This record gives sequence, structure tokens and C-alpha cells, in this order.
Amino acid sequence: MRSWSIHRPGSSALHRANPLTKLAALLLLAALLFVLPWPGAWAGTLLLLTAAFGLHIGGVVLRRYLVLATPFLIAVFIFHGLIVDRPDRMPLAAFLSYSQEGLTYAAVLGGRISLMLAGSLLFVATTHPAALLRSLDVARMPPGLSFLLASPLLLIDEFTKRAGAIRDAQQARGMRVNTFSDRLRALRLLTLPLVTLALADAQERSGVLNARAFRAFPRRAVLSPPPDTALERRLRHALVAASVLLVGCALWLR
Amino acid sequence: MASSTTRLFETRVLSLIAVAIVINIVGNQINDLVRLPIFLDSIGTVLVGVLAGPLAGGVTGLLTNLILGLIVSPVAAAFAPVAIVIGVVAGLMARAGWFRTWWQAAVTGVVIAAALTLVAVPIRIYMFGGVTGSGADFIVGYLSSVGQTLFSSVALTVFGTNVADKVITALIVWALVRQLPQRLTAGYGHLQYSRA
Repeated sequence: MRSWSIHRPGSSALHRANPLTKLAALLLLAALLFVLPWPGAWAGTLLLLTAAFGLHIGGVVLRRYLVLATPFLIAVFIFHGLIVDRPDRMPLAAFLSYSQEGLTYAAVLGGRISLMLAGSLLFVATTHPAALLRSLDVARMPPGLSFLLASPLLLIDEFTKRAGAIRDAQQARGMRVNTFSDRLRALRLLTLPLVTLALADAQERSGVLNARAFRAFPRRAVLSPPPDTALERRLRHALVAASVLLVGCALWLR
Repeated sequence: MASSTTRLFETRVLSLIAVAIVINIVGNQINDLVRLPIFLDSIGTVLVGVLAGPLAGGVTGLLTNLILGLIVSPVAAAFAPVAIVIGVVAGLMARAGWFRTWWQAAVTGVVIAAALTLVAVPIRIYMFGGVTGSGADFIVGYLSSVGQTLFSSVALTVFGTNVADKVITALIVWALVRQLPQRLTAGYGHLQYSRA
């Protein structure tokens, strides 16, 4: 089974930046989608993917980008360019016709998704989940909330390995997936052990958390907080303010 | 000692939500092996709805999609309201006693599919123009090309592709809660509504 994490350690400025600053930048990127024309969104995507190569994470980011973006882009261009009936349809070849308006709409949607995807992949590739958890604690987020946001990120690869081990064990016992009824049976054989194990795990984790007085205090102290500077804090505030301003202006001028 | 944190959920429920989010994400990979035409990405959400109630179920759905949005694709984050609905409806149906028998669980699956369709269709149309890059796009394309409006094409597709998935998900959760040992379920008060 595949690994979910595309995080790659490094020492670039983006790697060293506080995870909250990167999240604020991601917020600005989302706000930009409200005002950027579609060529701008595509140019932004290209810029971010190029930046990933400059940070030596280009390979992993581009691969994941292509795997995720390609099906959507193909679907959106075929559907809006060739299938949806619009007044400006022009014959293309044989029984096919296309719509310039539909293709432009597809470029708008594709550009938006591409830009957000490239931005979020850059974030994930340069941010370790543990660093995100620590920065949320430093930001005085309630420990329960930071636990919920970060612990799944730390558990995904472990559970993926567990699911792989259960699959191997069941296949060794004779599980087959040839017919439809085989597959339904296999679904039960694979999910029940995984979920039962997960519930046992949840119980153990809550016991450990309680034993450590996880929520005895409303805020947690962090022994090794991610680096943060006054300049970065000001930058975060500016990024959030700019995001609110952009969305406000876009809605006001609409 | 300082006063304790204001708690929306007990620590036990927090841990349950955390592993349920991972089950949602990994469940999709299990489906890669069995190759059934379903998503299998909300077993954890429905399970939390049954064990800990609609609010915890909704939070599980929300966080699953936000995390998927961050590590897999922003498309998933846009559908977070749909995941919330799945968890909340599963919790409400469980509270109403609709997880006691297999056929009740199957009906619950249909109700969840109908409820999520109401939320998913506007998101799919207004944010993505009706397609998301999944196999279901072929059905949307086919229905549009035979004269259905975009709205009805998307609504039929969303309900049709989700109903089997949610019925199977609800049946798996029903089978699971019946088989779980007492030591794993003690403390989840909401489960009393689903005991036969």
C-alpha cells in the first residue's frame, strides 16, 4: 500500500518557516482565487511547481500534482468544452463539437484547483506533521483541537502498514477477490480487523493521554517550539489581513 | 492546578475521532484491493456517529476532509460539509434507534445518501462545474449528453454513486458494533441507542 506522506526534510527558507506562516500563505492563496483571472491562476501554478524544484522537492511535488490534477483537468475540459450544451458550439470533427465559452470556464476551474493543489503540496512537502502540532500548541490552541488536527497525520502511515499486514494475512488464509461475492466477503475480512484494532488503539491512546494529564491545563508548554520570529509573526498577520481584504473586495465588487 | 480545559469531548472520544479519521483515509486504500465501485471513505465517520453521537460524527467528517484536502487534494476540503452531514445524520439515525438491525442500518445508509446529495450537489456544480475527476464524471457526462440538465445529472449521479457505498458502510458499522467486545465499547454512552 502507498505511503501518504510526501514530506521531505530540508533546510530551505520554506522548510524553516513556521508552519503557521505557511498556513497563512495558503489562506492568501485561497483568497487570491477570488480575484485572479484564469491565466494568473495557471501562471501561479507554474511558479509554485518551479519553486518546488528550486527547493529540491520538485520530483515528489510534481508527481503528486500530476496524479491528482490530471483526472480532474481531463474531466473538466471534456465535460465543459465538448459535452455541455452551450449557445456558441462549433463543429470540431465527425460528431464532436466544442464551445469556446465552455473551454474558458474549464480553464477557470482547472486553474483554481491547480493553484490550490500546488500550494497545498508545497506546504505538505516542507512541513512535518509534528512541527505543525508543536506550532499549534505554541499558538495556544486547546490541546484537544491540536491533537485532532495533527495526530491523524502522524498515524496514517502506521495504519496503512497495518492494513497491508491484514491484507497479506487474509490472502495467506485464502481470501480471494475474483467474483463480486468474493469481494464483498473480502471487504468484511479486511475492514473488521482493521477497525477493531483501531478501537483498541484509541482506548490505549486515551489511557496514555489521561495518564499524562493531557488536558489538565488549558494550554500546553512546548519543549522545542518551531522557530518563529517577530518578523514572521507580523508577516502572518499581514497575510491574514490581506486574505480578508481580498475576499471582501472580491465580494464587494461582484 | 489551573482549571481544566473546557471540554466538548472526553479524551476517549478525542482518541476515537483521531483513529476514525485515519480509518476513513485508509478505508479508501482497502477498496483499491477489493475493487468494488464504492468509496469506503466514511466508515470511521459513521462509526463515531454511532458510538459517540452526531456532533462527534460531524467533527470526524469535517476533519477527515480538511486533512485530505491538505495531503491529497483540495477538492476533498471543498466537500467537508458533505462529510459533516454524513456524521451528523449517522449519529441522529443511531440515536433514533435505526442501527439496531441490519435492515435498519441499510435504510440508514439510504437516508445518509439522500441527505448528503442535498449538500454535495450545489458544491459540485458551483465550485467544480459538475465534475471532480472521479469515475462518476462519466455518468454526469452521459446524463448531460442525453438531455438531462446539469443539476439533475449531478443529483442523480451523486445519489446513485453514494447509495451503495453508504448502505455497505452502514452495514459494516452495524456488523462491527455487534461484534465489538464490551471492553472496547464501555464508555461510549451513545451506543445504547444501537443495541438490539
